[in-house]
Amino acid sequence: MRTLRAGVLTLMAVVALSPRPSAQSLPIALFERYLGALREETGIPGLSVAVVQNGRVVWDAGIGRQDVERAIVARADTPYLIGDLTQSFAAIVLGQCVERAALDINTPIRRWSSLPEAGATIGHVLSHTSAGVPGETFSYDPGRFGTLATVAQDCSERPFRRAVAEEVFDRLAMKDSVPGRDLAAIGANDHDYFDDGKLRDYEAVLRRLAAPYRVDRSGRSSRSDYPADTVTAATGLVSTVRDLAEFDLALDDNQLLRPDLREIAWTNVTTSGGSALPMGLGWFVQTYNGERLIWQVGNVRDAGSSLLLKIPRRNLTLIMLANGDGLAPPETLATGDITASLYVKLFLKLFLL
Amino acid sequence: MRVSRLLAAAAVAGAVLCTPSLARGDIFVSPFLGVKFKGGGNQLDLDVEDGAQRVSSSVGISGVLVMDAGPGVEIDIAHQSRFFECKCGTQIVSRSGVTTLSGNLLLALPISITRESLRPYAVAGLGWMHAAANDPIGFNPVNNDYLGLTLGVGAVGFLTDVVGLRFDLRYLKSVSSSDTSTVSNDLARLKFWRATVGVVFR
Repeated sequence: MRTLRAGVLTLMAVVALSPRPSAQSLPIALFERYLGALREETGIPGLSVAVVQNGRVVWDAGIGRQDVERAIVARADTPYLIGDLTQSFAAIVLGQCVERAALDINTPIRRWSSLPEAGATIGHVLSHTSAGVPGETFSYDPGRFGTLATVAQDCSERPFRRAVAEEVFDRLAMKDSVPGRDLAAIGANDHDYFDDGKLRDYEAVLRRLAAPYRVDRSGRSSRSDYPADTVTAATGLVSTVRDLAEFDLALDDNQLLRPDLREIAWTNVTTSGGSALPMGLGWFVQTYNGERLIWQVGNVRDAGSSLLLKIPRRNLTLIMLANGDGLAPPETLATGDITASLYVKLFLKLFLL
Repeated sequence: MRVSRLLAAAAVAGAVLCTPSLARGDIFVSPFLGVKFKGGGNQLDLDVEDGAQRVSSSVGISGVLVMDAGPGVEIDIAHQSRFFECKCGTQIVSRSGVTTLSGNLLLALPISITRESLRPYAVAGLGWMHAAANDPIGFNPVNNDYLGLTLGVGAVGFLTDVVGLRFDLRYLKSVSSSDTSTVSNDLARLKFWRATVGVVFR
């Protein structure tokens, strides 16, 4: 015990005496220190992180390299593929449709897709509870969730990627976010979506996109390729931790969604028997040590990972983007347990004292 | 953890019970001091293996029964302190150590060949390894048990009828564990080298 106490005091002294460009709180200084070690141990070449607390970004940074071969360091404004975090944006676009009374989430999804379950609604797909007897079991299925892009297109009267760009990215000045890495590949159709100036901006951001890496079980990374996926409601957006911090602040300030609708999205759906399932609408909702955690994790196979964790009662958010797998174990999305992530475990240890 | 401990205990007991029943032999005890180096494992290591890789102290004691014609047995207990701690500006691990207890078979050159000079030997055996580590916020406490394999070589020589010296180099490696790595969910693994010099009391 005495050794442990001496260790804490020594580390506090070292942290306090270390030269820092800006004043940091002790949890953030410790978080940064541990993050460097965790990144190396999990084999992630580069990651970016932002911590939002009480309505402002209290820390953002890049750790490691966004491109190992070209020795480019990761920064807070490094763009990454955000994978399944895209679902939270889709939930916002659909929520805005509900606000405008252009959509009812209890509408059967069969109107837009060919899912076999006749009773499945938009709400069931948003909460990954559409399989089997709709609303009774949780089964994470990004393929099904992806079909919601058609619903969003219908209710917002424009393609999903344009709805995200205009209703979220542009509104919040998320200048380093792009509605799809495949934008250039669409060719002439791009101009149906965005004007030339916008496309040039997107291209400039995509030129800075973090290089993708495959991380093997022993923690060694090797260069891989970007996935060929296009943008769906489930995956495909590009963003930075700095932009996602703006998204987080706007969520808290009710700029994107009415508070009552946001609360519905952040409340676990329940079965007919009253059992809580892991998700709300487009967000996971979990209780940890009495705290409600709102989160979404993204895995871009062999190319990146992402996580956004909100602790509403503490006005605290962690945002992380990486250019390799490993911010959270792959099974996190199936189990609905974010505490399986070493990075989240560390964050909770430091910030939920 | 229980399986590892049982196997380790069986290995140590086996080494004692299987003592060759030849008449002429040496029994000696050897406290030793030395270093561990080139360590590693798959447990989350907050000092990123800088500490495990580097040289740190090893202290222990061996009890040996060796026959004049060569075979023998050994019980070896040792502690490697500050096993995972790096001496670097980014040190996070605040306390660590690895303790080993092994029962080994020892094969020495017959005394008829070595006479009064250094008597080389080789050892191989199984035993228990325990790794512990912690950090200032208790984020990654390590408390793992392993079934460990020991392979080594050395030489022992006597300066007087009673006192001698022993030089020993061995490789210790886990072969099983009921604990898992916090990084990969694979079985926890550990390995390191140990070089020691001991005083021998006959």
